[in-house]
Amino acid sequence: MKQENNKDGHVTEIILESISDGVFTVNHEWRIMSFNRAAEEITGIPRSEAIGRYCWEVFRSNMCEGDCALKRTMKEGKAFVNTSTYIINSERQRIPIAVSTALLRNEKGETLGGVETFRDNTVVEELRKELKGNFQLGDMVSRSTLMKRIFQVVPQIAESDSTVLIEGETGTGKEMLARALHSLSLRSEKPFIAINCGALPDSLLESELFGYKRGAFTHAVKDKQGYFSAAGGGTIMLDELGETSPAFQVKLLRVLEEREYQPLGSVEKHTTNVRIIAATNRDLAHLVEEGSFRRDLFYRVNIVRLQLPPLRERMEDIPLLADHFIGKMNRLRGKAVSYLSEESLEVLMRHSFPGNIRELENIIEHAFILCSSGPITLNHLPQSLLHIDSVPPASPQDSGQLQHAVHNTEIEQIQAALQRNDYNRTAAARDLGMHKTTFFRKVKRLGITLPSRDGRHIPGK
Amino acid sequence: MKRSSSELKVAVTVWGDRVSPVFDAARTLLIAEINNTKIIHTYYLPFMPEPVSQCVRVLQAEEVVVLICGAVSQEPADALEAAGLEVIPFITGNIGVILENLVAGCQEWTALKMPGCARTVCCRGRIRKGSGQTQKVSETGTTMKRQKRDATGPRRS
Repeated sequence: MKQENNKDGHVTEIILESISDGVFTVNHEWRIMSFNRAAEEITGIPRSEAIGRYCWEVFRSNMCEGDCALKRTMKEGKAFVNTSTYIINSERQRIPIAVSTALLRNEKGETLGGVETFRDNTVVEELRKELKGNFQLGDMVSRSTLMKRIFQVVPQIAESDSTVLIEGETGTGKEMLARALHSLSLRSEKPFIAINCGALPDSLLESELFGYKRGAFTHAVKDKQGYFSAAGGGTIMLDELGETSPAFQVKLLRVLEEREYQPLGSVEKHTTNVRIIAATNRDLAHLVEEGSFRRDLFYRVNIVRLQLPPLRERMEDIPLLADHFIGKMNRLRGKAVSYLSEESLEVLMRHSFPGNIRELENIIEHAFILCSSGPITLNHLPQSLLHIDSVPPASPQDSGQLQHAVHNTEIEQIQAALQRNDYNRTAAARDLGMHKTTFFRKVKRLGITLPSRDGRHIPGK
Repeated sequence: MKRSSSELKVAVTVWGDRVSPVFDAARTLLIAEINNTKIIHTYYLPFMPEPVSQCVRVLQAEEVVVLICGAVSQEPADALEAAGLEVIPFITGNIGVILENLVAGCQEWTALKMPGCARTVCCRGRIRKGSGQTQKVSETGTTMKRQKRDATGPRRS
């Protein structure tokens, strides 16, 4: 019997040494008791140095401090499978891994400690990145057609060195886009400075941007360089440009036209070599019409205009963005949150996101406070979101009435479009913003009888 | 208030009473003010290691010159060193022992290093030459005494 046990142990050892997954076991004091060959290879730590040490000194994962899978297993007595995390090996490299944990028990069922197996996911992560690269620009991710168009032109715009105007609602990622433009430009090695023009009064904004000379005003005890000087050769992002006063707009216009500025209190002009990226959440063209924004400055900054769509116009990005933020927060917080549950995603898809991507990021951050591992469920979402979205289910009668109303409206709209376009089917479809195939499908479904006249034939010919 | 030349501020990423195992996921800094081989003041600071530029700003604002931490990946380590901070990485053990080692002016961290740190390279990434009692001026200009430490392995708490 004893001989048989020894034989089994030997076989287990051979198996452990031959597999490509790293395996180690710990005792109740968290000290490593065994460490297989693959574990040595993945961590870069020889077995002789690993055995007897605390697991966190050897494993060095971002989960160790915050949400250790092995600790949870030991506490709850249950196994966890395939938790994604990373470790730092002896070469200071981050190695992405998938971790599984279980209790280590002897033949009598007594718990001896824990066992952790981990797989090097470097290749998988590289492939994932390669795949994701198609949807990513800097820190921005998107699958929407609107954003892909922007992603396609950004590298060329970045290289051009022209002044760029970025328009978009608050929270749509204007600063991220500006950073991406800077990092892809030839100025990437130089500083990138973002300043919120709307947050500062005129005089302060001027002194921040252009600097001042000693004695220019009370308390100006020494010269101070401004952002234009500090950004030398780099990029300055002027956010909320639409909020600036006409007086400041004149000064900025001069900098853009002459590439020169005067620090406050100075009689000398300084030349500048910075690229300006202007950003606003207002419609500058409309402000020009209103007379609150200088037309000449508008034309100066409106050389290349990029319009960032609000999140409600790219709802298809919500799952991708949520995954992106979950990954980011897992890295920052050392947690192992896996994904959004279906119900949570449904609630998010129903939300209108007036705060755009920033609001989505905040929702995920909120969920991370309440959830440390596994999927984000409805319980982890902000109550306000659930309250707004908890529309009482429609009664079958209500639902029938609604369907009837939709049906009638569709018939009315299609008939009106046909009349407007002299019964030309293709033109009517275009007028309604749909493909002609969809148009014909709807006509058939709604039982609309089309007249013989089709707008293409001229009677009598 | 201007800091005297013998005063040194050291930050340690901490996890309870230990050095945080991974700098990249650490949450708390212990800042120790050392003056003439004495710790005159210590305090804790919550911090985020990412983005690293912000972390550098926090350390600079606290006038920290030496950072002691656990495992650190290449990117933040490079950024911290580029900002002029002296980084002593891959350190493990009880905070008390670390600070004791520091105030003793000991430059030898072998006994406190994590496993896997190459034997020919010390934890500061420099090739170790010779041993024993040597005077050494660190990158930050602080003069510390290098001592040979009893190689009985890491102290555990």
